[in-house]
Amino acid sequence: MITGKPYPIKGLIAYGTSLFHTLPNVAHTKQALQNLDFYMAVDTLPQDHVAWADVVLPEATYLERYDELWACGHKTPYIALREPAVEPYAQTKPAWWMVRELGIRLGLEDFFRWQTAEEYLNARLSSIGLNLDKLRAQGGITVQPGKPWLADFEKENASPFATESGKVEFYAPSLEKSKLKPLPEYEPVAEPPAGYFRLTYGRSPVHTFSRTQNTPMLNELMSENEVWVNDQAAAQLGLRNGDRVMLENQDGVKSGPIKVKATPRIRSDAVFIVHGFGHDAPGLTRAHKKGASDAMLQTRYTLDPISGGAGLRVNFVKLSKEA
Amino acid sequence: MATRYAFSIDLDRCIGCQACVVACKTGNEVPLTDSFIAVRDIVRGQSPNFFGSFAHQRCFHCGDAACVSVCPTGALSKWNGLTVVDVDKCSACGYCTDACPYKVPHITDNHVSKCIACLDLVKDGESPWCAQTCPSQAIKFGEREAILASAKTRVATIAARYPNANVYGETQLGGLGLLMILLEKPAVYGLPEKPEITLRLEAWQQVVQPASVGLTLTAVAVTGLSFIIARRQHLREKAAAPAPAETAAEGKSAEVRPEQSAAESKERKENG
Amino acid sequence: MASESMRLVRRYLPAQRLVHWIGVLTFLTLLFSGIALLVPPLAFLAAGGTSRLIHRIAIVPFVLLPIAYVILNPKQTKELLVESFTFTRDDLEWFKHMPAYFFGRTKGLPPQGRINAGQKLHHATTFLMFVIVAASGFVLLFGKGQLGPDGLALAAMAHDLSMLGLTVMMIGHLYFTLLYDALNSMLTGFVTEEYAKMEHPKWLEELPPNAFVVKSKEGDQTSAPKAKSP
Repeated sequence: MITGKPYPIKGLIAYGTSLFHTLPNVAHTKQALQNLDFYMAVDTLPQDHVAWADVVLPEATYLERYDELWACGHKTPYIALREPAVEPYAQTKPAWWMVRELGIRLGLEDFFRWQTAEEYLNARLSSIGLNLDKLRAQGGITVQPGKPWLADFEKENASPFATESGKVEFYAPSLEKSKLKPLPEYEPVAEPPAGYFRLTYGRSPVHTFSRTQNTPMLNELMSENEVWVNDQAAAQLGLRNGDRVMLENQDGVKSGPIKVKATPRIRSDAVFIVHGFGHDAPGLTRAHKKGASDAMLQTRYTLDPISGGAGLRVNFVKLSKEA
Repeated sequence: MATRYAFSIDLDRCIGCQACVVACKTGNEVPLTDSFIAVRDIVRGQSPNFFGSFAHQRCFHCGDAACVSVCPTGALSKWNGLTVVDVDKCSACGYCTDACPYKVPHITDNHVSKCIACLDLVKDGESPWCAQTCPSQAIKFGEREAILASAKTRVATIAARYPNANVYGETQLGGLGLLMILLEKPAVYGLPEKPEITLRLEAWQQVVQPASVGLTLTAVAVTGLSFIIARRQHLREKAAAPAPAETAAEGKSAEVRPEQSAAESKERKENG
Repeated sequence: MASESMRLVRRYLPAQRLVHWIGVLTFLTLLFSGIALLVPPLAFLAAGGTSRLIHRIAIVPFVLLPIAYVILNPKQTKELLVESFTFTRDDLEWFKHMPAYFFGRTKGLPPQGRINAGQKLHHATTFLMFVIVAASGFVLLFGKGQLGPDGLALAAMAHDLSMLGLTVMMIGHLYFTLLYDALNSMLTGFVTEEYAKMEHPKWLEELPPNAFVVKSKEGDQTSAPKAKSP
């Protein structure tokens, strides 16, 4: 999106994705958005990235809408109904309605011959001899007769694993053939520069991603994140529990202010913050400007060359006390 | 024979997720800024060799409940081992907030606020919201003997990892209705090893209060009866007294019956 | 013998009567609103916080009015307190006759001043218990939740016992008031000369002329000097 290579991307729909919290390096994300000709945001909340969109379609929450049938094919396969419990708030709409309305305007009526979600779902359910009323009568879930998927492989004496040996491989000859390390070897990572701590992040069971910080009951239990600092390291910096600090990373990017939690629960060369705070959106009235954003501070990341997995705990921050 | 119910909370299983707190608030429609129960984390020592645990701050449903003994209206009472609340009777006097050895009850919205053991659910044969919700099955509810036995078994199981693990509540205060499986000694959690209802509280409830009522009633009775006799005596005395003279006479300081005197008026305080 | 007019003596000023009666009202309100927490059958008065609210409202005049009187009448207050806490030989003698006095006999009592020994005792104990009930009430009002079981028990017992004392003293006060027809003095502020002679002769002797009024049958009151012997 920024370089235009291998090909330019000029249009983006951000559907239920909190762009400025889900992706590291917020400045980078903003730069990418600025290259777009068209950017549409579909969300249930007035999240930070929504303010950047050309078009905003406010979505009804899962309690206010029908969704596609939930078909789950694991060990005990089942199909579950997802239906509204209350009417949607204000002018919010379910996704099926948005998609249908857009489709019709784009000349795709043929693909949307159903008028309502119920019609659509009934049509799908009829293929297994059910309809919405019957499914509801069963408690909204139907367990399908199925067998563990491994049984098929066992019958044919085949392996479900796409490896040469047919087994789970810790040492992978196939990687060796591609001139890559067949067994991962530890490579030391860069240590924090003097005066900096490694920025680590994680979750609290109270909140989910960056989307519940504004929910009243959860906001009450945890309204902001805190920066965990080893208590002895904190004392050396003259910091006490409850002090507010700004976090500044190795590239000069800042986030905060955030409360200090001086605790023995963390080693002295690292700090920890819970992900999903530091919201900028004024619409999130309870979460607005509370705590610090890990995504903002993660301006660097390393990518595993084989799996593409991103390592984000490679940023370092220093703490400066708020006046 | 009525069932004696109890909770148990296994602090080894507890993950501090606070789903119990949210379920309790939602299920009992507790106002937003209040809560019946709370979870906090405690830590002792220094990284990397520190002791950490989640701790629950909530009603222990004491067998001998101090709050029940001081409650003047009967809003707090015992039901099958649980300390339950009748909000309509509560006067918000706040005695319970000071009497409780664990500082659990507090006053919100003009009535006592504390775990009510989801009495409606329990009477319907279900478990309270917290026990139903706990994703790690740390909170159990049921018949006390079984809950206690299961808690003891659990302590034996985790003893290898936590040599100081113990069941808190087997005998304290008449046996607690919330048995806490602690990972360390009670003092580490700020819990008293042997709490008791203080003598002063007992004296106030058992002696001073009844005595106050009794003595007042006695005073009323005594004066009531005496009045009959005394009034007759006084009226007799008044009738026998000489009528007040219109003119002044020589005043004398009388021993028996003071005659009307016309002493020189002295400068006296205006206070009539 | 009775005549067309009656000689009266001023005993209590309007300010004093006001403080007394408002005191009565507030005291009884506090007593009955407090009793809801003491007597289980009356607990329904407390439900929902009704008695608590009434109790808290009544506290204000109960405490503030005496304080206001003290501030506005410092000299009189000081005199009253000195008088009430000073017990003379005559007072001790009076106490020996107390049982007889209780049963309606004033014969044989040493002559009393403005307030008799029993009244002094009543004032003194009421004053002390007023201070205790107010102070312990203050602790209970503002310290709730921070007292702990012992603190609560001590404050509550001090409150209960001082209130018990005030109530028993009030019962005694009512008793003697009705027994000795003294109610009028606090209603009108005046007592008859006959009453004064019987109950407080030493006070009567020392009164200035303007303390007397003459009340005619029609109810007119005119200030009259004490008649002198011709």
